Amino acid sequence: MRVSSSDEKLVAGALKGSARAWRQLVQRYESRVYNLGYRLTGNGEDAMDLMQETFLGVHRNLHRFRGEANFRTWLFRIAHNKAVDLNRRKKLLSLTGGLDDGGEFAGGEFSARPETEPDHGLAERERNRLALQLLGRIPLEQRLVVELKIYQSLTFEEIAHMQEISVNTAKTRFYAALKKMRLIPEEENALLEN
Amino acid sequence: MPCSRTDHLLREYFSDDLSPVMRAEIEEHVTACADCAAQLRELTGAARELRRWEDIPTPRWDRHMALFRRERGAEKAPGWKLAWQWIPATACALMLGLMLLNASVVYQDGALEISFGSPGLAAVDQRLAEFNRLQADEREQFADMLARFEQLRMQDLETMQAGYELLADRDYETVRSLQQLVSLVGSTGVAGW
Repeated sequence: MRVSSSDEKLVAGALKGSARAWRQLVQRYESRVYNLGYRLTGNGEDAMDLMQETFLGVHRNLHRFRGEANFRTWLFRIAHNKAVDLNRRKKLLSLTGGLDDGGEFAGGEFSARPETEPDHGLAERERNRLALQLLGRIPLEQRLVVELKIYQSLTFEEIAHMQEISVNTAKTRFYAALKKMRLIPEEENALLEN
Repeated sequence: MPCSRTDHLLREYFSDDLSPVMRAEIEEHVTACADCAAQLRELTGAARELRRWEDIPTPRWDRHMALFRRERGAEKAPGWKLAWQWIPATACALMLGLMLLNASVVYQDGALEISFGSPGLAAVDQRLAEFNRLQADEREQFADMLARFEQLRMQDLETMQAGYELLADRDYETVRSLQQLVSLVGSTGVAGW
């Protein structure tokens, strides 16, 4: 694939000391990693920490990347491990309950700190708030599967390899996560009204 | 009554390696089973809501550029650029070396002579004597040249004087011839006019 080979060229350039190649590599993936962090942690500060930790890990281990795996997959593996580490230090996005029960993120993160996302409109913030509330219902191990499957479009095989579990376990975690996040009819009606 | 196949079928329904045959079988079952249909609707609804996420702009950060430059070095310049950068430094080093070694480069008798270190007082005296001798020779040659110029000037003056005298003699003869002609005309031709 063109993107992969380009990634490999940038990695090779960065390994030779090209600051330009490193900048391009980071610019290419920083938004995806930051938003991954936001969905996993539920706030901008932790997302920023996770993104910085992830790229620090990439920088430290760049010489170990041999091009056998896709760079994107390798990057998300690092992000995944950093998220697990971060979760050990902090309790990430621990929210239970329905959409209207005024949980931690109900009307919370985005509206409470609008300066964090100055370019985000009200509708976008509302959509993201709902997504965060759904993600807040599931534990981190399931959230990571959902993140990698829905947002990063990884296969269950790649996810299983990343989490060192079987493919069936990865499928089961994803299904279990969807069941916990499913919208009960009252919630769906409320969404339709909005 | 809950369907016993729901979990198995719906778990497979969200697989990325679902075969067309399996998909058709699941869809056929879901069409007939109200319980599975309701659950599938709820699950896909959740997945749909998650996919509506709008990316949040990344705040500005340094992208670990300072760290990268510190640990991996600045971006390397092309080879030719580095070569050009070495030229002034090499020239300076060469000049410094020449100064420290007290080297002198002299062009003498059609050849370059490079010598290192101080020449010494005896050599300086020898060079000074040679210089004075050359100066004396040049002064003598200059005096000879002046004498020669003076001699030539005197010769020119004598030549000019002789020329003027010759010219004066000729003028005198011319005047005498005219006087003779006038006297001849006066004595013979006046009567005829």
